[in-house]
Amino acid sequence: MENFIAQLISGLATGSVYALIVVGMTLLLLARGVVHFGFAYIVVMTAYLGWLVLGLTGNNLFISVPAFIIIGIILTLLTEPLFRPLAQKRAFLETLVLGQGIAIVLTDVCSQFINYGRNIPFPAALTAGGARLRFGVIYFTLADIYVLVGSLVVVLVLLYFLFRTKQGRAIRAMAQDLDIARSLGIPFNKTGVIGFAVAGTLAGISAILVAMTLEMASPSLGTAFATKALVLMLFAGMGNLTGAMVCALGVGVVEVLSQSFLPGRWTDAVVFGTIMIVILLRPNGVFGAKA
Amino acid sequence: MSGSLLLYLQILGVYILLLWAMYIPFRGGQLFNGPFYCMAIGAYTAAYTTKYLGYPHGVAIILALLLATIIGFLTAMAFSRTTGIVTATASMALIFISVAVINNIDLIGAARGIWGIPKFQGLLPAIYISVVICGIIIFRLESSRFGRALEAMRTDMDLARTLGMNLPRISTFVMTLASAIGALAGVFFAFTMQSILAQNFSFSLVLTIMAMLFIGGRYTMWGILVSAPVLWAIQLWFPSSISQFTNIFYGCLLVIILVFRPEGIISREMLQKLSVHIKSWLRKVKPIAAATPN
Repeated sequence: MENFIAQLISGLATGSVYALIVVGMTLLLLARGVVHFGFAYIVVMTAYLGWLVLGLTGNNLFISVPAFIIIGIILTLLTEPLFRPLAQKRAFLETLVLGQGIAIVLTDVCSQFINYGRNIPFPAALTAGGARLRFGVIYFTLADIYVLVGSLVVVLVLLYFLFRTKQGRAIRAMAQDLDIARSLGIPFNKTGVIGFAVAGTLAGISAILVAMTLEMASPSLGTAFATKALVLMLFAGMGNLTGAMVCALGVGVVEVLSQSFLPGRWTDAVVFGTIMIVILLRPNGVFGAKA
Repeated sequence: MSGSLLLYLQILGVYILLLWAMYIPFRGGQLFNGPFYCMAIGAYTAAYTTKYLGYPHGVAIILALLLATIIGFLTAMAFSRTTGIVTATASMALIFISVAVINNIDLIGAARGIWGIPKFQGLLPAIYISVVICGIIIFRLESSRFGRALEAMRTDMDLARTLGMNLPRISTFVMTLASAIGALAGVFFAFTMQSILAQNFSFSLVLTIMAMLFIGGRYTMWGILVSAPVLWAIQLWFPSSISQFTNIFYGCLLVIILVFRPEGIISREMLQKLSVHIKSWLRKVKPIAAATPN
């Protein structure tokens, strides 16, 4: 039982990293109508560049943490002009493939140019010194708690932005009906750029959380995150923010539990298999409207 | 023929089959990743039956095709009511599931894969005969009533439905056909490489194929005949100092094409213009040709 609770917390921490990535992708879907498959790869790239910054500044967190976020914003904004023509045509499937193109480039840049393609270890300074907390007989890492609290704060701020500010409302209006939103005078380009910038902030924060939970990053991480995030988006119903967050937490828990309780490496098969069946039964997602 | 050229031509054939397998559902507006997992199933069936059961290659091909087509049909049934991004993502998830499953089954070598697959004499002609047959089937299909139905489905799904088309049946059929062609590509891949790993059929292959399909032009079946030979030659023959950047090059090219020429290098309009030019040129040539004997 003690083991189970420790795994549960570790699973929730993993899940909250997924949640932030899914939320970032959903935000781009709302703001621009694009399925940004490359978003998870941007997160990994940000982690890589952030690792370089950590190395350069001698693990100075006061410089590195803002650097992570700024790098995330810059990388995400750089992809915005690429999606614009397809977004205007509303070519949905093509944006998915464009994201895959960005994905190949980012993965290969990570594996060819940074640290000779080897995995990058994050310093103890960022992972809270690997400290462990103890409640009775339950142990868990301090980093997991930071990740959980951090992502909760980020999500609350994001929800405030989307539902209480003018820009957030503009994004939701564009998501509901692009033509009407434009005819009401909501600027297409500006709103999209703001959406990308917010998603970029999420990418930067996700990169920090990845560094804290996994304590390392590898080039293949992008594919793992991207496919899970995409499948989760469908699972929850396209464009459904809260549903996506709940599902991401759930998948994180299922994944960690199946890693410790299932033999072999069946995790991917179990996670993807379950989600697939649900998607096929309910094409609009668990939380989506009925067809 | 040198070994390198042989490898180039054989894998090129495999790529063309796989690209056409991706192309057919795309005509109906479906991005269906089924050919990839059916390719894995086909490759593993062919490898297992020839190496461990000692079946002749012809029997192995038929068995692999049968098995992969049945699995392709079952998944196609499941995908018959989904569209667009749902089909694309769910079928992509199936690739990961099949790779995870293959990596966990000890009978077929798990993560070690299958190596030492018996050599198939006359593989190159077999591959290209299949390519030609598949090409003819797809070409005939496209210019038939069924091809127009696919076109209508891609352009406007709701309209196609109101016109009385049975969309689930159409998409099940194209996806099953795509799965079968993908399986064939897998069989030939296994016989060419003579050793296979689950990783061969994973995400990097998807990205390579997507790059070839979108760069060549996904609205006509001829586009890939331009992109696949060139892109595969770059990967195989450029010196290793350059070829390690092929993925970056593929990715950049894919992004550039999608931003500036989303329909790909060879578009439908381009082919129509070309055929008009050729016809008018032929009209000019004919009178002269008729005049010369006199």
